Amino acid sequence: MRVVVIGAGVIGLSTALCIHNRYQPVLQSLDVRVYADRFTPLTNTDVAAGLWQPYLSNPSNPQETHWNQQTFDYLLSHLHSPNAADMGLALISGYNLFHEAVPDPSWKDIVLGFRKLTPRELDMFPDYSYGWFNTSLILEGKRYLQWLTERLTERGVKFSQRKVESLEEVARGGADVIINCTGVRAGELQPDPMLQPGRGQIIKVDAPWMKHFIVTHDPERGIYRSPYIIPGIREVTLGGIFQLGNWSEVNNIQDHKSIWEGCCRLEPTLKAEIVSECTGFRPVRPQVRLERELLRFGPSNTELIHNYGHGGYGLTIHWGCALEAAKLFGEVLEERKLLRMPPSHL
Amino acid sequence: MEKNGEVTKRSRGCCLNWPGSPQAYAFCFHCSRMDTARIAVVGAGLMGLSTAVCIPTLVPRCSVTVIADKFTPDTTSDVAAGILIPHAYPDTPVHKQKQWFRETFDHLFAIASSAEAGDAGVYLVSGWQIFRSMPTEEVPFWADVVLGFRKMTEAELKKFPQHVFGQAFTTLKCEGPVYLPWLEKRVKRSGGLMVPQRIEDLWELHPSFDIVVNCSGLGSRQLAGDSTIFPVRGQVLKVQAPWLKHFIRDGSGLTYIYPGISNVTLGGTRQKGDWNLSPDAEISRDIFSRCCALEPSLHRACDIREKVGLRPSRPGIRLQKELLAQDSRRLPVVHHYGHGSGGFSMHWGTALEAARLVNECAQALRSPAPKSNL
Repeated sequence: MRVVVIGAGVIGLSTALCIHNRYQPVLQSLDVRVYADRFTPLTNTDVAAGLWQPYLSNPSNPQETHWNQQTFDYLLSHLHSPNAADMGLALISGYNLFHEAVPDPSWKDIVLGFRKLTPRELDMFPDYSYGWFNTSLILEGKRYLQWLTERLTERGVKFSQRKVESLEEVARGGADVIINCTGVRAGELQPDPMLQPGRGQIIKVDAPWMKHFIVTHDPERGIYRSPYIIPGIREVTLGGIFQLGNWSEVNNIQDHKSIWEGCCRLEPTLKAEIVSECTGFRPVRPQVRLERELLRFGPSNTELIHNYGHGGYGLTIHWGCALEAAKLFGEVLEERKLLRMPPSHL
Repeated sequence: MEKNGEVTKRSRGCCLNWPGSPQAYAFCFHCSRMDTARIAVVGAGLMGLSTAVCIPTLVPRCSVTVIADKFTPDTTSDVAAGILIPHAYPDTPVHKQKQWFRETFDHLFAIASSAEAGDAGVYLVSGWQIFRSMPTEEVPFWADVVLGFRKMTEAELKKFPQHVFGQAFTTLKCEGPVYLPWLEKRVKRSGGLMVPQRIEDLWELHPSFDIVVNCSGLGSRQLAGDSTIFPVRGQVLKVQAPWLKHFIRDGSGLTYIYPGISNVTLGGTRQKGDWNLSPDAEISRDIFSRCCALEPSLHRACDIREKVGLRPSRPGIRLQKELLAQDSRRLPVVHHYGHGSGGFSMHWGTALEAARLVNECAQALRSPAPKSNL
């Protein structure tokens, strides 16, 4: 049973790991490979700040709320192991700021210690009049991808650096099941008018005294278009750019100014050294595409499982989606009557 | 005779300010010709430096000289994590402790919110204080001074299976090795001097100085003859674990994890009467093990360094004027020491009070009554 995962960002690697963990014990012939043209540190996952936080509004697909919760619980369970830092995982508390009172988010009981900000806390942010405080998680993209790669390598999963030109090419190459985790460029393999790039630019600074995330919201401008400051393990990510339809990979000077001025105004202590700056593309879609499709090329059929379109919340939702993709994979195995326990060794 | 609007009294004939006198820079206690009050601050730890910063803001026409045998990064204050969580002093009234804590918190909060925060090493940090059994006081006196104080939720307590109760809040941390040099810069900017010199007796400062501020911590056993001050030895580990963003403190105060700017402080010990400044390897292993039990990710910490500090412990903080007298010599002293485990939490409040006491001394020297009662 040859499974090819296309894409080596957080979705591709976590789906590969989830499937391998679940089915390798019951399917001796399971052969999982990852094909991608870009690996860490060149994926969009590497650019993400890594804060676990869904959008404020309820997702159009209620399953996404469940997948977010599954991801949080999964990550939380790893917090108590010595491996947490290796995974790029840590607890982090911080502030969500608004210009006016807003309803509580659907994830308020998923995160820890959710509460409203007190007046003295709001005094720290004179441009804002309402807000929340809660404890969430940081999952640093780069470190997590390295960790996933190590876990996959241990399990004998092979990686192949190549640009996949078509699904047919992979099917004819012998894949029984293809998992499509191609993120923002999924449209190159199969046109998807619902998928668009949500270009983001971020600045990384060295400001080790910052221990809290600060995310501002401006409903008039929209998600990710308002300044945010998110400390990672070593560096602090500054952002606030979201441009639908913009494919420019080049760092833009106007965007730089907008981020820098917005974040310094928000947090005057940011008299900090700039370490790096980069651009990424959120794979924006009205909802995640997580479903099966049957490909017919020639005599045989190839099962295709799509898992892309996670917008700006890929790290937040990744494990729930990986579990769902693994469930869909299980359905394929059942249909093909491939699931059986290995012979017992008595 | 009037000078600058103040009425000054004529010399009573005991003035030492004769031109050409070998003690030309001395002044006579009874003569109010003292123009610049020359103030010596003994000790360059947190108390010495913060008092040295406060004095020029409250005392008109003064000069400040900080004299100490140890400067940052070699003071006790450099070893302390610098977290603002008060300790109770049995001999100091609670309302006073609260007042000093609030003054310190408000002062540092303003710095933490300004562009100076990184230079000063002052920043906000959130976290948890956890208890293995229900504490007698669920809401401490300082709960409304820190930010967002509340009980931990059940979900939060799951992280600490050995603990039954906890408090979550946001407080401030002052990184000693960054904050102290920043204070030194402030002292120098207002004209203060730093003099590395070990003082064995406060009288050494007479007659070069008009007022002495004693911030010598444990040194007061000798310098002030105070036998009520004793060391409480604290050993800590400073480690690299930059992923940790929260403090964790066991309610007993014996085990704690305080994330800093350039390292994380793991502690600790409370060894009364122990003067030993050398780290003990067995104790280091024990501290590490206790902290890893609370935060298993610490197993990945590296670059582990051991440090020891002797907390200057006393039943109450000594903030008091004293007039030293020997033959005809007089030396006004303001004592400002004995903060034990709670130095950082109280320092600005007590420094302001010490500076007020110094001002009282200066005023008394400038316009003494026939019988001055300092």
